[in-house]
Amino acid sequence: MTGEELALRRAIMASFAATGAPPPVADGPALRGLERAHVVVLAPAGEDGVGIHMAHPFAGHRDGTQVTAPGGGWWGSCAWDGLGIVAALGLADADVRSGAITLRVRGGGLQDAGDAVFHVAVPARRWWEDIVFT
Amino acid sequence: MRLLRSEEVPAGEGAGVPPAQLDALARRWYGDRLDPGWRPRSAEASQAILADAGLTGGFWALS
Repeated sequence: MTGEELALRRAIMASFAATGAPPPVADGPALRGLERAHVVVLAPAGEDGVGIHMAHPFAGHRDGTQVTAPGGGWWGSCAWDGLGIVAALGLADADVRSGAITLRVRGGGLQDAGDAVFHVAVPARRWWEDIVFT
Repeated sequence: MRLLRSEEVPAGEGAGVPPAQLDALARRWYGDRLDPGWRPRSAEASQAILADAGLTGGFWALS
């Protein structure tokens, strides 16, 4: 991974961490390098150009898992990502809402989630064949 | 990947991970993503994290 790619990644992750959303990005070799490395998943280019669909554990879309905590809100694509956001940001208290289920982190620990189960339908070796579906 | 109630899990399809196990996995998998010195990790290192979280066998093989 080149220095330019790492710098762009840092900027993308810093924006997600601070605001819950990706920064505007210019298409180019660094961004495409991050895409090839599975660091980012790009959204289809629209009128505003290319966008960041995912930069794990964060998501630019709003169709997945919502993380809320004092002082901020973030989105991931699934509960794994949501708990990953809690870990990456070092959140002691947060709610991770995925579908109809909310996982609660309090005092740095996950509270009992009852009979919730994280279901993985696609075998690991095929996750990146269609990461949006996965 | 979806968070479901146990009665909603499709029988005989995929794999189910309890939330506590998922939390342990997420902490290892993503805990360093905002570190200034982050670098991509190898597939072998990712596989080891899955194994440390108790996720082993063919379904969890990354390659």
